[in-house]
Amino acid sequence: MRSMMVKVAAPAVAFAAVLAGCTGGAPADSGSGGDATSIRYLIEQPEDPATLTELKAHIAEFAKGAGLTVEVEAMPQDSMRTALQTQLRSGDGPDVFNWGSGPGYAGALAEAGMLYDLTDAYEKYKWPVYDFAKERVTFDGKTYGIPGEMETLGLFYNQDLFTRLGVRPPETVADLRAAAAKIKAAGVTPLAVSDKEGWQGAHLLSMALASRVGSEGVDKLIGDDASWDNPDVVRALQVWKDLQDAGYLPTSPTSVGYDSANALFYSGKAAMVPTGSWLISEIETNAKFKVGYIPFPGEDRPGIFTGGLGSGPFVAAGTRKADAALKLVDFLASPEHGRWTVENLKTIPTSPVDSADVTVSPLFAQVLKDTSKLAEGTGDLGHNIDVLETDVFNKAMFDGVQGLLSGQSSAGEVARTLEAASEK
Amino acid sequence: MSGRDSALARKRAVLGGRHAMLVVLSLLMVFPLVLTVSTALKTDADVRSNPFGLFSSFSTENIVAAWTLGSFGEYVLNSFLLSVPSTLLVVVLSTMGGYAFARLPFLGRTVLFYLVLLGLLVPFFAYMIPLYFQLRSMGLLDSLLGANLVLASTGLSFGTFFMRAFFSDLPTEIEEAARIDGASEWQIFARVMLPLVTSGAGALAVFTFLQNWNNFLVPLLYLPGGEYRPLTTGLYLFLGGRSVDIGPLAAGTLITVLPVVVLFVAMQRQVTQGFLSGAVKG
Amino acid sequence: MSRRVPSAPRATRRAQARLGIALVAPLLVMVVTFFLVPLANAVYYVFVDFNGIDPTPAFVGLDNFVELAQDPGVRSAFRNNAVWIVIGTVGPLVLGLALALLIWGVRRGSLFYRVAFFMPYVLPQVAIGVIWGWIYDPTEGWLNRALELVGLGALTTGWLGDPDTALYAVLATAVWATSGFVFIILLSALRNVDTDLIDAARLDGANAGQRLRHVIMPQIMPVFLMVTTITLVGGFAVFDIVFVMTGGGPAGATEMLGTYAYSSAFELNRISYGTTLALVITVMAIPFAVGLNRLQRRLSLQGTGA
Repeated sequence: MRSMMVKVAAPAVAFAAVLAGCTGGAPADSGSGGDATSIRYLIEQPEDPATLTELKAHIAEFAKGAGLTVEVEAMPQDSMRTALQTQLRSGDGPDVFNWGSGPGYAGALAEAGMLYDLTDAYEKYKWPVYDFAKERVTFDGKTYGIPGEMETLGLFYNQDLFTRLGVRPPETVADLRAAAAKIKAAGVTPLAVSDKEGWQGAHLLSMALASRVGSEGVDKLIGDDASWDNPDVVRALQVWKDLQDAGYLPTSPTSVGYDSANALFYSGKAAMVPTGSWLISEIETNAKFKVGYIPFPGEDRPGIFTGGLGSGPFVAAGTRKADAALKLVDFLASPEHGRWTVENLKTIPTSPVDSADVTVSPLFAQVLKDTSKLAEGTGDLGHNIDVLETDVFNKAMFDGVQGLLSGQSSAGEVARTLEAASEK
Repeated sequence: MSGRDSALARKRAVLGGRHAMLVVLSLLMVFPLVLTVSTALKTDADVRSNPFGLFSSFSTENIVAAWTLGSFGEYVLNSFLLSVPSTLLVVVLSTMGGYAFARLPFLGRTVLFYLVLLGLLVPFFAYMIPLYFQLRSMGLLDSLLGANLVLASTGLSFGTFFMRAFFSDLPTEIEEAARIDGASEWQIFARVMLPLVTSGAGALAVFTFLQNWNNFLVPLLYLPGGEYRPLTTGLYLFLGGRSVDIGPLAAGTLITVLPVVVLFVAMQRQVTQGFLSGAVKG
Repeated sequence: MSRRVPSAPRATRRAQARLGIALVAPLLVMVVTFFLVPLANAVYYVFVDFNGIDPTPAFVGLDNFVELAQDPGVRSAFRNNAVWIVIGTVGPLVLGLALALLIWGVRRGSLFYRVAFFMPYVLPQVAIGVIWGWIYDPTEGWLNRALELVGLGALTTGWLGDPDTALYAVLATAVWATSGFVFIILLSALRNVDTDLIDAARLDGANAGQRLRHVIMPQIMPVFLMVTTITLVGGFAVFDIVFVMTGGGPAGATEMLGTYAYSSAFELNRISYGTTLALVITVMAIPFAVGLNRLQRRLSLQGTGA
């Protein structure tokens, strides 16, 4: 979700995620011609160029076995926002493409009639996608795609440091404050909060809110059944403000970049970092200590993780090669592919993965376990607000939290602007 | 001037004070640049432990990291691919147009000249958004050709204006003498007048090259795919990238500014002239 | 006085016209395609609601302007931009003039000084943003460390993330970068200043300030106004450096009209709204440009007449 966030935040910052060596394909007329077994699959440029190479090889292997030719093209997400829709309209688009779930992404395309209805295909192929995830790609009773990988938000903490200071992982906000006080006394920044880029604000609010009102509460807000201008939202924002006022965040988080905050954590100068599961592999490379991952604390009970869905495959309504396209989607929805993504891309598929079967690090295994609770229906998972809301709302949210953390507006004011933005 | 000793001594003292101030000020002005060079050439460990020390260690590791991992090698090439053709285009078209507007009367000349000049008044900014969609429909988005054409077009108003001023300054006698000798209008332009404005065209070339090399918005908007990313947008990405280690960032910055600095120092006169004559003649 | 060619002035003129049109044609094709057509499109966008996708956007009349007038985001961007225009113009003018006066008449090392002072202006704005970005960094930045070193640790802050300092921090960088431009142009103007007049004024007992005000400034006024115009008009369309250094943040504290137009258009897909704002900025700048230009022309005519 980080990359998605960044992209929503600022198209150009988006490129950031794409850093180096983009082998990105030019869109347009790579024309897959009339050959019914040759299809185009458009994906977003992954953060790490190596990922693209691996993914291409993996899909080529499948294609060979299935007697297909799959041309994988990658494009930075922000370009895709405009390019994809034009391509789909002009009939010059890809046959299969990765896109975000939720109303702002797939919903908009479905409404415009640009997505191929996969309801029957779900029947036929029996794709084992979690129901909650399936909902996010279902509009007007029709299911349109395979929701992409899951990402969770929570607090990573320095286990070694916690043990040394005799601090237990906090379950409630009061615990968190007590722990932070001890950590601060030891000369370490308790929470490496960064908000220079702005998109972090969505995550900060998402986690505090989900742990406070649960997923149902967040659902209501997103579904406009509750006003954003309500005491819970104000409290969720205020939690962060209070932590800041107590000196538990870096001075001026709005001057601290995401990477600088992570660096503070890796170097042991900060004890916790509130961010998402996508950072796991980086944490494992950079942190020279044991790291734990917990949900953001609730007010007077343990909090819950929040989860979001990354982008996943959809089929273009205008494809002339539906059979081949469906074969590809079937492969992408398969447990084999799911396991491959877990092991190679460190992403979490939206269908069950036999965790006994895969070889991953302990930290990642924990995240897998947390998310699989969903499948069993035993766990609650909050929502990452930003992926479910409109661009206008997201901008208001990014600016709002920045305003809060830079002392320009109060929690109440931010909540009011959120409500105003959600009404637009 | 007065030859009195006291006046001379005072003058000398004033001059000495001036030099002292100038040295301090120029050091302040170039300090950020010195910092960049120094940081780029330090070892990574030294950058972390002793960011204040100027030239406290020497290593090319940051440069190598930026060049390879940060793809700055590619960006340099792309910067040239974007700056050289567009600059040539500006110089050639502006010289042609400048000559026509200065010396060749034809119907609608004034109106057309003002139309070209309008580009000096309207910032790129005002039409960059529609231009994005126009390029997309022309199939020029995300292509070297498209970006070069746009870069060139942003420099044409100034270029034409600049070259016209040079041609206007040439005495009519030269032209008329050539005409009497039976030279065609084309020959007058190409053989007689053109050689007289080479210094102007050179100044325009250096100036335009710098502008295009430094351009940020054009590649940011019209080369979204990343295949032809030049140094400016490349550096911007590197800034927001995952590894914002200051060492490689400084190295990337150094790679970005080095060609500019070298070109500027070497062609200082032309660059300054480019800024001056264009502006002052306005 | 001219030795007329009796044979065919008309034929000559026709040949000239033909060549003229041929020489201008490619230039015009470029200007029309990549400047006038998009500019016309921009004007069209203003009156519709184009989101970047819909090929036949609805006509909305003046709605975009109405919204613009009521948008608090535009108002705060306008305020920031006004501060930017004032400080971003006065700062470089004062500093540039001071530098030019300081170096005026200095022979030795003058090339070095000129290169040093002008250098920041030729650097890419992105690079400038990067370099100053880490000078301003809250923890590792040189500025904060330097302040601590000299015992002013109380003044340290996250320069670009603190809403009280962000705008001025970016402005300081811009002033640093632009002063060289003002300097180099004023220096060239100073070269044409009549030094005899200054010596005369000195003999009359005029002090340095009086000499500057009454003798030097009037002589360089046309050029001074010209460089004012350029800096001022540039201030309206400021984009690169703000975009790179703060992206308009924190929470809009450094948002300029330009960055606001950009984010409206490309982040919120409100192409028409962003374009309207961009055009409004352009139109706002024109009176300043024209006014100063007129003034400058009048002064320079007087100058030659005197």
